[in-house]
Amino acid sequence: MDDFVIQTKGLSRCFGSRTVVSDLDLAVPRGCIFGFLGRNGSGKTTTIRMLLGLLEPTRGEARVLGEDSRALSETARSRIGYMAEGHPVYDWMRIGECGRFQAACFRSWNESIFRAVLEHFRLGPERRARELSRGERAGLCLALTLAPEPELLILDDPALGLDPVARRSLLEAMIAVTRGKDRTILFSSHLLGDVERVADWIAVLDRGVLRASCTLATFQRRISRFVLAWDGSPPPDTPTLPGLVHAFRDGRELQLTIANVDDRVRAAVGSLGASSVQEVPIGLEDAFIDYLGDRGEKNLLLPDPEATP
Amino acid sequence: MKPLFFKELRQGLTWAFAVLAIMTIAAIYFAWDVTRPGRYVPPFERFQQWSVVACPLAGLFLGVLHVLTEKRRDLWAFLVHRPMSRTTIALAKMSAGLVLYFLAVGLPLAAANAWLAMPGHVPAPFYWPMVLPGLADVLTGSVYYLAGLLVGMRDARWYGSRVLAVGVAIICSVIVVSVWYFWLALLAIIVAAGVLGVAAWGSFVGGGQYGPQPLAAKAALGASLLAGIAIVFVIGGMVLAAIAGAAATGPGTRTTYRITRDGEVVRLVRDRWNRAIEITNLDGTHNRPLEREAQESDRWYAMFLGTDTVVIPDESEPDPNRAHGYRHADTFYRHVGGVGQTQWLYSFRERLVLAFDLERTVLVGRLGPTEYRAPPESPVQRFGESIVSTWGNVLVFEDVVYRLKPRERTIATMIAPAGERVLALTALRSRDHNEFVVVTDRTVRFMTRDGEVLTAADIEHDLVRYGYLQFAATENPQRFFVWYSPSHRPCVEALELPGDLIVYGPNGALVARHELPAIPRQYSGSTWYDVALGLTVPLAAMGTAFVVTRALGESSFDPDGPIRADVVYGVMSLMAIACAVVTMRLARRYAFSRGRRWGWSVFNFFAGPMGLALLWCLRDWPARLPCDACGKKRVTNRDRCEHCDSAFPSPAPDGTEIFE
Repeated sequence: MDDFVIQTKGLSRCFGSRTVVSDLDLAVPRGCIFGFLGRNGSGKTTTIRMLLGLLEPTRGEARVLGEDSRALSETARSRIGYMAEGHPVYDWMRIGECGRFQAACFRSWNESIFRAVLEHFRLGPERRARELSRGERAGLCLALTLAPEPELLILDDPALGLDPVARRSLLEAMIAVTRGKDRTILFSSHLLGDVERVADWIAVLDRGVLRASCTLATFQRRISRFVLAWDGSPPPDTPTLPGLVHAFRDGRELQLTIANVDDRVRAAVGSLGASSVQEVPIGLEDAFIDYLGDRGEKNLLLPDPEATP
Repeated sequence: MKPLFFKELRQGLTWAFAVLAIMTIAAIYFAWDVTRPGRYVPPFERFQQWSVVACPLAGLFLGVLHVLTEKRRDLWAFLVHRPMSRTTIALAKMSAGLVLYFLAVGLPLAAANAWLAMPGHVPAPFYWPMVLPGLADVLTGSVYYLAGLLVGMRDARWYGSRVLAVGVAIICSVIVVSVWYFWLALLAIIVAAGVLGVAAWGSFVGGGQYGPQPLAAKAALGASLLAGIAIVFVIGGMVLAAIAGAAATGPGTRTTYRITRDGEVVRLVRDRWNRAIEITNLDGTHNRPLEREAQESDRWYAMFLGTDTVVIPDESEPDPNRAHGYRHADTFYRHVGGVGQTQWLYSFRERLVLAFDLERTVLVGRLGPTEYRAPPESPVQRFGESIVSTWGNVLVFEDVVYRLKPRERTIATMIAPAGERVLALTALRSRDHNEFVVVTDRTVRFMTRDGEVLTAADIEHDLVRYGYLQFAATENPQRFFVWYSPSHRPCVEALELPGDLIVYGPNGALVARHELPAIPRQYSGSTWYDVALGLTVPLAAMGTAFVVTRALGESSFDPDGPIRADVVYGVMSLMAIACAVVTMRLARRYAFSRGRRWGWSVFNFFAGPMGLALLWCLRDWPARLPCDACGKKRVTNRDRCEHCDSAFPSPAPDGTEIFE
């Protein structure tokens, strides 16, 4: 059996002259919960739509469960569960009708899973979809996606627009149903807490370019933060350092978040002329925020108000 | 497929109900309209005026809505991402949509027809073939439904090529209302539905894009768009022609022969604004008094006798006197008079004249050649099968001409020429329609309403070559004019034959005979018009028209007539070459494969600007960006540069990459 359920090679998508996904080489290991991260407009949804054959790639190819994404067979589709970001269901249907409709379309349908998820969200079968709140709607969609017991679950920003309670509820349901089985989940999000809670592998898209694809532990290990302090005023320009992802100035202190720190980088940081250099531990959430933020000189570096001109 | 079918059915129910309600209200209105007391409104035609417009609109509306409401990105993904092929989903959608359409439109129409069929509802007979036009309209609406699906499915701009797909449906409508036979209409509907069905299916399978579609669907989509483009070009061509016509530079005069009120024959020359500018006698001398009179009066035509024309039916045409098409009431019955509240209709099916009471909308009697009977009785003897035509309350058969007398509820024989076959009849405008001309295969007779023959003369020409006859008469002196003109039917050269105008006195006495030389056809158009024609009409269309007209033996396609063929063909050829070159350049620019490049170029050589427009509308045009290796612009949808074969560069690493 293939070790990767999703593999892309040079996958690209342009809308007009704007390249939204650029030369994406992605591999999603079987059995993992894969967090697909990126800011709004970074190309996550476009990538997912290409993976499911809903959008034609401009270049490159993608294989999902061993099949070309442009021509996924009915069997492959039955093995893939997909929850789109807007939590789409037919408004005019009742919850029970939604279930019956979906059950009739899918070859395998686990009614107990469907009911369990509905109960988790306290959804009765007689309610119409148009009457549901966002969280309830997400719950219904999740129930519809999980009940066919798909081998690969692709969730496009499942917690989008939900309050923290609904979000937590959704994640709990997702984990409860999927954990312990040979099932892969790829979910995109820009909510870092969600990723930290459930993902064991992540990929980060930055303006259509894949910048990271690793386990959560590796990601945390490879991001470091340095706090530099000067007796006088620190240098006015952002220092040029390899792997610099974020810089923040606080009076006479400069905080630098750097990826892939090695001795060479440490030496470069040391040569900035600071009176003290500290490598401090960084939390995963901070690491994410810094990594997903704009790089290098685009950070807002406020001049030191006490510094002499 | 079953759950999807029922889901689609349920989803479209609201809109289908709305259409059903509107159609029902419309049916009730038209039913009320045709039964308003005191006036005769032909119910058969009136209902068609409704169905011919309402069915296509309903179909288009339901088709567009059926797909557009679900085309939103997430809902679309929810629909198509399930373990069934897109073809299955498309078929479920189409079949459910068509079922809803047929119910929404067919039910009111069926009810309307059933109501029409019940005696006592409308003052006209009902025969079952009368449901065929409505049926054709309902079926045509299904073509519009498919067009609507295609319009809703395609990823194109609304103000661009999106609505062009309706072109096939419009052409189908034109054919359905124009052809004589239902089976031809049905054939057109099947072909149009086939093309649009395949195109809609292809667009569904391709998610609205052109690239991923199967080849058959691409061809069907191309045909659909080409039909729309052709309609746009025809309308554009008409506008151009109107503009070019206004700027015409040629002489633009028209020359015809006319008979003056004194019985003289003159040659009249009119300018493009229809003003009489020259009147000459047949010997070529100017007729100054008439010219003066014409210049002083705007109503110059009042100086001449109005003539009434008879075109002798072509024997080769199937049933020339009856074939008025499946949509025309004339196929079933004809209004032959009305007195008071009683309307008289000649039924071609029953071969009887039927009397209907407008107030009570019931049949009150049937009239045969010998007797009148009130229902339920019917006259024993019926009229002959060989009806030629009717004129007012005159019924013309091949062996006898009758005049209906509604007040007396009888019918009188005007003439029954022994051994002759009646070919045509017309009433004389120049005698306030009180006198008639009856043309048989041997004789022309001028006669009164009561059947008195004023003059009779032998037919002087072969009526195949001279199938175009005009008649006029003057009171004082009593003169009767028979004017034979050549018909274009045998061949276009026949139009070069001279006309023959014969003047008779009472009792067939020959008074005068004028040979009227054929008036040479002269170029009366505008060079701009010809240039516009050459620019817009593709070689393929002109060639097809030429071949078809020749194959049909028609000679009406006459490039030497009102256009300058050299200008038209010259511009057309230059346009064909230009279109092929532009296509080749476009194809190179967008890196088409060699086969596609040549295929499109050859196609556009024949299809001209229409083909170019089709190419532009059809394809998904990729953006072009400068190549990092060679600097030239390259298309974004190829892995390697079409100029230097280098690959797209991978995004530059910035040192922050973290890979396991």
